[in-house]
Amino acid sequence: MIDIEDLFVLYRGPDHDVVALRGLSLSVASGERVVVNGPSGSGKSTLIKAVTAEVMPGAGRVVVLGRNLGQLGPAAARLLRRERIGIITQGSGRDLAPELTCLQNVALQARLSGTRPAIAEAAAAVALEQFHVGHLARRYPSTLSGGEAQRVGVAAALACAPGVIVADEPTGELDRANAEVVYDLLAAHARSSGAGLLIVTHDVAANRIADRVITIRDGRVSNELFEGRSRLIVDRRGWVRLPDGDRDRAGITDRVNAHSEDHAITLVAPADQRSVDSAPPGWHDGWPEITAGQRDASVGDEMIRVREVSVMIGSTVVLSPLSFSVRRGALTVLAGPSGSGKTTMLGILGGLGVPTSGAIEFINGPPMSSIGSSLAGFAEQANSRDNLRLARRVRALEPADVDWALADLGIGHLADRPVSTLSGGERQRLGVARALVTGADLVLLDEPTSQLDESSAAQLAGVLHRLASHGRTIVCTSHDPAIIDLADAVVPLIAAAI
Amino acid sequence: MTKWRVAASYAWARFRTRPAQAGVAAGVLGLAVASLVILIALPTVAGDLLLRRTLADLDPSQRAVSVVVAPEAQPSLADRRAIDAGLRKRLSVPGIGPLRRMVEFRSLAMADGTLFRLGGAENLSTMVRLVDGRMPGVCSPAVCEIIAVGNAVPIGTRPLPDVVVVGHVSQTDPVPFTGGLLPNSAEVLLLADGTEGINEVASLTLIRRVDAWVSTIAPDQVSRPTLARLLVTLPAAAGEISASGVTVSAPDALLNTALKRADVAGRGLAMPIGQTLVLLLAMTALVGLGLRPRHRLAADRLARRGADRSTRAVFDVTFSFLAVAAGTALGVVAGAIACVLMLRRQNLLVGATLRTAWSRGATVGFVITLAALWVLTTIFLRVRVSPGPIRTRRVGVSDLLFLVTIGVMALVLARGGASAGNLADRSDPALWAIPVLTAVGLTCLVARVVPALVSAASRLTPGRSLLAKVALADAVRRPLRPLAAASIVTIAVAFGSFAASYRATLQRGADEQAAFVVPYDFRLDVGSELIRPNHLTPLASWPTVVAGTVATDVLRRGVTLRRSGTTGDTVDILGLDPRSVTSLRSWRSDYGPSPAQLASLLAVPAPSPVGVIIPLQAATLRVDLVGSLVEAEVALVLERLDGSWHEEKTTLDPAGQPTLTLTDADRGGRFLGLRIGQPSYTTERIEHHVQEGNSFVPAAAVALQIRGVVSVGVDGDQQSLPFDPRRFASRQAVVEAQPDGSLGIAIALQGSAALVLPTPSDTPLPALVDPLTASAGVDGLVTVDLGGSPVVLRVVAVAPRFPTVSSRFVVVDQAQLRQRLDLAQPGLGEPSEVWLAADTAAHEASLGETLARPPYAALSSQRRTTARRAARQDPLSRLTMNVLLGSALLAGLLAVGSLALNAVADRAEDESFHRALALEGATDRVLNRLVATRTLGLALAALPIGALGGGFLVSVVVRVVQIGATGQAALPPLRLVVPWALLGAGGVALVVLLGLTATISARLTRPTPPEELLRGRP
Repeated sequence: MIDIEDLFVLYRGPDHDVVALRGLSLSVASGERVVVNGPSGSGKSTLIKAVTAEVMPGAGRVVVLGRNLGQLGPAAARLLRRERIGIITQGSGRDLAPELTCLQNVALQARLSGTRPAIAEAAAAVALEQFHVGHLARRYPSTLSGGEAQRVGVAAALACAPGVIVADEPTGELDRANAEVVYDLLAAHARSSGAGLLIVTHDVAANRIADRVITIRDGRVSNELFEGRSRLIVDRRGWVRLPDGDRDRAGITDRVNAHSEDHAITLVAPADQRSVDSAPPGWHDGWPEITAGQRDASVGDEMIRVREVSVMIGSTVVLSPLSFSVRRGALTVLAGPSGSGKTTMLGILGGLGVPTSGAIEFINGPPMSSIGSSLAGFAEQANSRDNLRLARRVRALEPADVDWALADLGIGHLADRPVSTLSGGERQRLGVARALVTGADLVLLDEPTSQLDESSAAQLAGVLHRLASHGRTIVCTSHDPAIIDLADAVVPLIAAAI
Repeated sequence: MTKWRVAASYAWARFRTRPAQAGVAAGVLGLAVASLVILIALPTVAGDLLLRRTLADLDPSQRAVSVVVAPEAQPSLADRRAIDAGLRKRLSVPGIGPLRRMVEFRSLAMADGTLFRLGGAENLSTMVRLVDGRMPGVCSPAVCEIIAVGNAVPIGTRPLPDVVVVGHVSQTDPVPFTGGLLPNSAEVLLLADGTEGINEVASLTLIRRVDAWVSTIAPDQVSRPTLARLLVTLPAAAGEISASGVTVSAPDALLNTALKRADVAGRGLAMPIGQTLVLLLAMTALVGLGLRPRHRLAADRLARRGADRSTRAVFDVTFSFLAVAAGTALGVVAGAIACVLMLRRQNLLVGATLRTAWSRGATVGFVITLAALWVLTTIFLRVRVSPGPIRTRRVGVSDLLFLVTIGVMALVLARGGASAGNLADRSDPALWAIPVLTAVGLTCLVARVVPALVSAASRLTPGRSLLAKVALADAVRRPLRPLAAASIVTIAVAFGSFAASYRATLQRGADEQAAFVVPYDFRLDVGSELIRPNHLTPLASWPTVVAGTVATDVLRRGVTLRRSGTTGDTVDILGLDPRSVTSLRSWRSDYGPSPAQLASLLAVPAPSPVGVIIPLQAATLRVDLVGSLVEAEVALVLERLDGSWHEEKTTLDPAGQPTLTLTDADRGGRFLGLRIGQPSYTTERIEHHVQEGNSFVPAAAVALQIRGVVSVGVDGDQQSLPFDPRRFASRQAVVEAQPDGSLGIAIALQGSAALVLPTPSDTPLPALVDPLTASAGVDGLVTVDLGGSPVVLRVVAVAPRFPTVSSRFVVVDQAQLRQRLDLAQPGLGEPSEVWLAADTAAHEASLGETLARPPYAALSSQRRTTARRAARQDPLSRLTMNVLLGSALLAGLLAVGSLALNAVADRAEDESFHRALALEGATDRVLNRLVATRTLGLALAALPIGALGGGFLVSVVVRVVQIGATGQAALPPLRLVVPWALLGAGGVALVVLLGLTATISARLTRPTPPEELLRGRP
């Protein structure tokens, strides 16, 4: 169904190009369900775009349903997308045409392919029934809940019986219960239709329906979950990516001595190259092992105390009861899968929401906080420095030097550049800088590394850690091990109960 | 095809389920279509208004249509009835008033010798007013009652045995009183009521008569098509019945002229129409840009579902079609209602006007325009513009388009202006192209300049105004929408300033045109009774008629400027008192030197008097001559005390010497010379010879010797007047001073005469001339022919025009001109025109009232304020102004709408940025200020470009459009007037309005609730 071999994808940037995929190879067989994990910036979304022919390979080969996508023209690629590939995104529910009923929405793709209305709508009705939303056929999308809309959206994507289904964070906006339903339906559909299913997600819950779970790091497939254990992938050229945790535990930095034996290769760090840093937390299944609690006793006093805080919207639990404290001068990470309520908790800390139950206690009164969101935008034509100054200006703060934040985040050379010319990663670092320059006591960051490659993420994490060690209190949500590794405290959130 | 049907039905679903969005789009497009519907009617309305005005301004008798049966035809009563029925059928067409049948008998005499003319007219009571007695009743073969116009014949008089006068009337309707029935002092006019009875009166059986039918063109029933049909109908009717000896006459030439003027007026509206077309495009742009964001989302959704390019195109085209169709339905209804209201208000025929306006061409144009709106809406929905900022250092499509526009505009300007003459034949595309090209050019200029301006403004804004600095920097980040909004603001400002300036220009033009025709407050000329103003009141006496009146008389003649021995040009020569030019009510710098300077340049010493003074006690003047006067007679040329020159025939005294008995007006005057001609019987004999076919008539050789002129007093005292034979000259005779002091005259007379007058001065006259006349001069001297006498002019100033003269002209000192004209032909130098100026408004009103009364009512009189009011209140002029004002207001509305749209869209598009600022603690007020600053910055950047565009547009239009608001050639040509105060006030008001718009629209978007700040809106 899908055969990707040594795929390179390059994005052109104003200053330098970004290599999103670096020799990725992957196959998905008919009826196979593959879940792709990986940190932000590892190339997951680019993989989806490559499979749907929305980006062309810089090198390598992508064959989908027997068609070499590199040789397809735009029209043929569109036709392939329309007729053979079912594409599901986290916004599929939002992507329904509000002017059409659910039935018409689901039948739309078939009708655009020339299918007669009666036939298309009959197939649509079957698809809706398949996803247990047949009763919504005559309703308009605006009358549906988020979960219902996403299920109708998934049905719409799959109504034309595609040979390949690709899903990019299909449950990103759903609560746990709805997410489970969608995973089950996708699995059932793939099983019954024989279509290959490729799901890209942060959500480990998706692993439940997978035949294979693979992890992408740095644009390559690095390891896969096999029989409950993570094993490394060796590509055709022999490249292997060592997990950061293992590498750090072994004290391996940038040199290693390799000794091969029967069925084994031993890597030993040279004596003069060994790392002396303390070992980070353990790893599990390719993910950092998340444990709650304070790791560094040197951090300051308690600043915020959160007690049994939960949030419900209607009957839906958005945030399960959670208790933790935030200490001054600490980097605290709220970690957890999609839908676990990380951003909701961050918003509550920043005063953007109120809990349904529980209490938040600010020990010395509410601190001045600054919030950086990965969704936040900029004055695009103004330069980076002015954007940072503006953040101080709207708080009525005195003008002050802001270049230090740019320099710390590795974008000091972009101070005079209009923001519109920055890459996604540079913009994200600028967003973090904006939250930092206000001098707020409490800095709240929502997924600050979601668009950074791993080295940039590591650099950012280092900066946050250093700032914390200099007395700034930083709370951020993140999946990213680069940040979690350096956190003073990690607050694990679990998926909300149904 | 199925996929296209799906796309079309999706478009319909989108349109149907979004009534607010569809309603606004349909409303704006409806406004555009309604404007178009009104625009289509406007030229017809303008033409019809002007036509009616032109016809109404004519004397009713000039609008008369008459049908006459020649007396030689001698139709029977039955024939007459048949002709009457036929005529009524043929001439029963719109535009012609009721037909009045009349009969007129040849002149007859009563028993006492009083001449009378008898006639009959239908509906007699509507054409006369009873003064005494009663209106006639019965009229049968036995007895016929009649009325007399005037009271010269007593009631009861029987001019014929069976005709009796029963009343006296005065005339109220001049139209039927034409031909023989025109009242005159030599004949009494007697009329019966109706024609049938008088035709059968026994005593008139053998009297020759003329049958006539008279009607008038009714201005309030006329439209251009009815008049055009009339011009076809009348000759056709004449052709059909001419065999019966019937003659149909109508003022064809006048009607054709009126029709042409109406055509010119309609075509002259092309410029505001072009301007409004630009606004239609702007409205379409606004609708397209307004619909675009959500529409693109829907189109992208289709694309994600696999819709190919053609399917998406069908989706776009269907959606824009629905918007345009809904707008068309609304617009046609609204436009039709507006048209009907407008036509009723103007008292025009609704059906006829709309039928004319919606000709096949107009309908095709309407459909094409709708199609264009559809295409443009689709383009605005579909066009993909780079989302990034404009690269100011690159040459873009807009730059190339700007250059093309400049080139086309240069071509349009190079081909010359649109005059009333060339608009009479066809429409001039330049008129509507100018505003369109200007708008296109301005849009390109905006694309080039506004990004640079706002960027520069951002850079120059100090750091302490960081919010404004950032707002301005981002003003044209996504260029299509903000630049479209800026373009619309620019066009609105351009059209607004153009409308204000052009209005001021036309109004000043109306004032100047009135002052050009009437240079003082009043202009008096010889009227229909051929009375000269100076004969009623001498110049010096006007202050006694109305205090404070300044009067000057004007001598105006046509003279010939020789180009060669056989060809010449006619030039108007004006003789003025040079000091009088300083009192002209309107003098423009482009007329030439200033009035004071001109007065100084034209001033020359008064001419030396010619001739000899006639003693006050003289009773007769006698010419002592030697020679035979059998074949000649002598008239004396005298200058009377009032300055007028006359020729008076002499009689021969017993000694055979020519003698003239003097009148009181002659005494104290001057004897100037002689006129020697042939006696009347000789002239008649020559004519007889010629008519008999004998073209050879021998000339009579006359030789006279004038020894002197003697005045003879009442008491017989004789006094020889000084007589210097050397000072006399003649162009028709050989004149020679004899050694004995006498004057020898030799002449060959053949139906001609010779003037013997003092020799005129040969000193060149200083003159103001037009450039063409000046170019005909040699060494600054121009020679013109005054009644056969060459006069040399010295050009002291050149001006393109002079008040009251529409062609080539020469202006000289009146006293000098007068003497030279009189010496060329006695009496030719008498002024026939007087200009009067009042010192106060009250005196002007008083003067107006005086001139409206006898005896001045007999003069042809023009008043400057009346002419100015007529020009300013001319319906066509007002229509033009209203269209300009309407389009400017519409443009302003569009500007406000586009800015509001821009601000709202800005809030939506920059939601993530605003969210970031909100997360940093920015209040909604700060965010609103950010959007408002950005929007206002855009508008302020557009303002100067708009003002520049308006200035350019008005200067081009004033130069190119050489017709005034009344559809006639503007004389003097329009001159650009910039109402700075009005424009300044308007600019301030506009800035305030735009500021309010920016501020209010920035608040229209719902602020993001705190709980959505981190996640964005679901």
